[in-house]
Amino acid sequence: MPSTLCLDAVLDLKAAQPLKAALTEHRGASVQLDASNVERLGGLCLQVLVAARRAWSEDGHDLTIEPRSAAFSAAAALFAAEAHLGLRVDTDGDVS
Amino acid sequence: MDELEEIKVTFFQECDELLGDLESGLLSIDAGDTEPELVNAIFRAVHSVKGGAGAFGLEALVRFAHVFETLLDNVRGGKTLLESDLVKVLLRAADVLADHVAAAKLGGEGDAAATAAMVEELEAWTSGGPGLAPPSLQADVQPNEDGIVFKPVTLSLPEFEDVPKEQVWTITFQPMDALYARANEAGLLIREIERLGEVEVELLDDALPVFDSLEPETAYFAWKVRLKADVTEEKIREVFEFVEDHCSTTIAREAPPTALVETGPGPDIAAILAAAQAAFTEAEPPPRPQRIEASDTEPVLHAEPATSVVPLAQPATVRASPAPAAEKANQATIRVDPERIDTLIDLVGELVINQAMLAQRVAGHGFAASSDVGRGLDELEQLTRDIQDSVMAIRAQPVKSVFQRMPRLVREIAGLTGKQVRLVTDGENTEVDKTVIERISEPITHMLRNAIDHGLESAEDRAAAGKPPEGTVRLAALHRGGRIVIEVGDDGRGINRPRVRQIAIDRGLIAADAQLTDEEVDNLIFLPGFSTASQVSDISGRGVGMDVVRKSVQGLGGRISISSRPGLGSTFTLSLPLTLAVLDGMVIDVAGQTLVVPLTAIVESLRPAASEVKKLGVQGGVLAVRDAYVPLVDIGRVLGFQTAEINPAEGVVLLVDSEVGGRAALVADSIHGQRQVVIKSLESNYQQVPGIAAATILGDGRVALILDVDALVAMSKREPPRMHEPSIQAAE
Repeated sequence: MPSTLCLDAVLDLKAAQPLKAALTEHRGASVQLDASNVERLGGLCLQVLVAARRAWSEDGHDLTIEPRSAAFSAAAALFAAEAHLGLRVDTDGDVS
Repeated sequence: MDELEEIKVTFFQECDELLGDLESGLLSIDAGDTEPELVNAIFRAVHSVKGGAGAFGLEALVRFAHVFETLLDNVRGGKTLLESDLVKVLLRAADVLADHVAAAKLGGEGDAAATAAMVEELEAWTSGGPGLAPPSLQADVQPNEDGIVFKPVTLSLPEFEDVPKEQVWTITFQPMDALYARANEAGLLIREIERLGEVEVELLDDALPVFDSLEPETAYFAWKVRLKADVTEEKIREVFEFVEDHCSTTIAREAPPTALVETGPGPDIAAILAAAQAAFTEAEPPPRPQRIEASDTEPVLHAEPATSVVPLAQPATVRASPAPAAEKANQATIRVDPERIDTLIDLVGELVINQAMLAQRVAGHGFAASSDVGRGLDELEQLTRDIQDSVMAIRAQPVKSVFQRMPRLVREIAGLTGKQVRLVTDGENTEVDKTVIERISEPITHMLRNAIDHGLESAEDRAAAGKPPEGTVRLAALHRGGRIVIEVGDDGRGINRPRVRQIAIDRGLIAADAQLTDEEVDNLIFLPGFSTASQVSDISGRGVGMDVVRKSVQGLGGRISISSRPGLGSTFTLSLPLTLAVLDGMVIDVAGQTLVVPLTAIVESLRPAASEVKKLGVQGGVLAVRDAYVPLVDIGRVLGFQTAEINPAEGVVLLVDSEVGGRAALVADSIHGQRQVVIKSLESNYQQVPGIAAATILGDGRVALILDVDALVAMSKREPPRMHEPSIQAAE
């Protein structure tokens, strides 16, 4: 059972640094990010999440974002970052 | 201050500038300027206010700005004709927008009723109500099926650029750190592009470092958006308008497959493209705020073949020279807390004093001016002066900030009086020290009120006098003789001299048989308690007469005068020092005290012959100067330094012009010479002292008092100061 990290409602400029710090604390094990409270996702926090996903993947761990609020999903789609965040499964079955 | 709050403060500062641009643009159009760029500029101003307001969640402001912007967009696109009535509506809308900004600054929202009324009016114009193009014009300019108007073409490249058709654009943008730091968001930009048409968005993550070395507040991501829409490049550029300096952007149009081979009677597109190419090559390389990742010489990120790429920072690609406004916008400026500049000016003031003290000490030790030390001191003095001038220049501001507030005032007073008024301003870029700027607004406001309320006639009276129904009020600023001169003129009826004279007699201000020149009659309106309005009006007759204006102007070391021509109008002329930080003064000795008399007040200095001095009564007397008698004012007695009178024939007399009592002769023991002195406020360091305007520190370290000549002359007309009145003697 991966540990769960609950994401803040507003993921803007001010949230980017704390988000990275919080993620760093969970490094070395799979983690599940609860994005159900997210109301706003900005470009900087998006970067942190994408970079984290790659790092976890390279470490051989999972980083999943589940559950997700509608606002989070919409923002990920707007940024064209669904694949980068592992929210979209490609037709061949691989998570991009 | 909270970081976001700081950004907000900057936003409101920018709003002030934008609102100023908006108003001056509208006023230029109102005055008949038909430059198309003006409409674009006013649109951009409203758009930028809206954009910033959106970032701070100022909903009411955004909603109103949006309605305003929509109408302006119609005007820009030729859907709504910009006629005179509409310009007036837009000016009032600008006022409402300014109210919204002012309210938002205080954390509130603008007047809901006024906003609703204005929104209704704007929407009526937007939907083609009063502003629908007249049939005659519609015959020439037919909207196409999308309702977009094609202008009849005299073919030129900008026209070509503006003609929208189904196109595919590739927009690549990379936010910089500053974009996020200023509370903007990349997502908002994508959303704005989405509104223009069909989009395909691609996230470019190549620059993203590994998690451990990622700086959370650094921007790494870029986005490529493929947009299919009937839009011009200009329209896309607007999306990036208020993040222009904080986002590296390229906009490229994919070449339509058939366009280049089209022949026939239409425009020779190949030739146009060739001309465009030439213009690109000839144009000066623009300043590039973009972050260039790949190489220094390649300004285009992710350029694709078969596309023409227009970097965002080069909006003037096909113009021979950039518009002056654009040029100004490109000038780099920095925002500095005014307190820091004030501190710097104070310190430079100390430096000037210190330099003078050093010079005096060196002289005391017998060094000749030609010695090395003497020459070094001369250079130091020159350098000190230069530093002082430069520092003062930093704090100098154009009077524009004050002038900008006046069109609204004029509109409001015109509305209240029912008069038709046109305000013409001139010399808005005349610079003056901030200390003066802050205090000229009130007298200008009062003079303008006075000019419209009392100066201008009603439209009927004007018509009867053979004048155009619309009256003109002129507000101008210029530099003259090391001072700033502000003129407020009207083309109204001029001063009614018989009436002014009668009122002055009725109020006991002058004798019934007084012989006065026209100029003297005109100047009667500055006497305390004089008001020509038979009824107290809401506008200028608030019990505050021109005497109050004159007093506040004098408080600034300035003068005010009026010239008037019956039937043609009046002009008030205000002359003020360029700064309230330094003053050119005459250093004098009175009863062992060193005093400074402002040079602006002095007409001449002389040493009178005993025969020219006439005693009057026990105290006082007059001095005969060129066939006129001027009252003698013994400074030492008036200020209570001494009781015995100086014999003017043994001392020196300074002939001064005082606003209260005409010309007077100040009697002093001796004169030391002229000097520029740094003004130190007595009010803030001690308390107000009658007859004294301020103080300064002299080269020998002593405090010298700066005389308030008008107050001194006024005091001399009363009894000598009583013992309990505050009095001050300079410290030795």
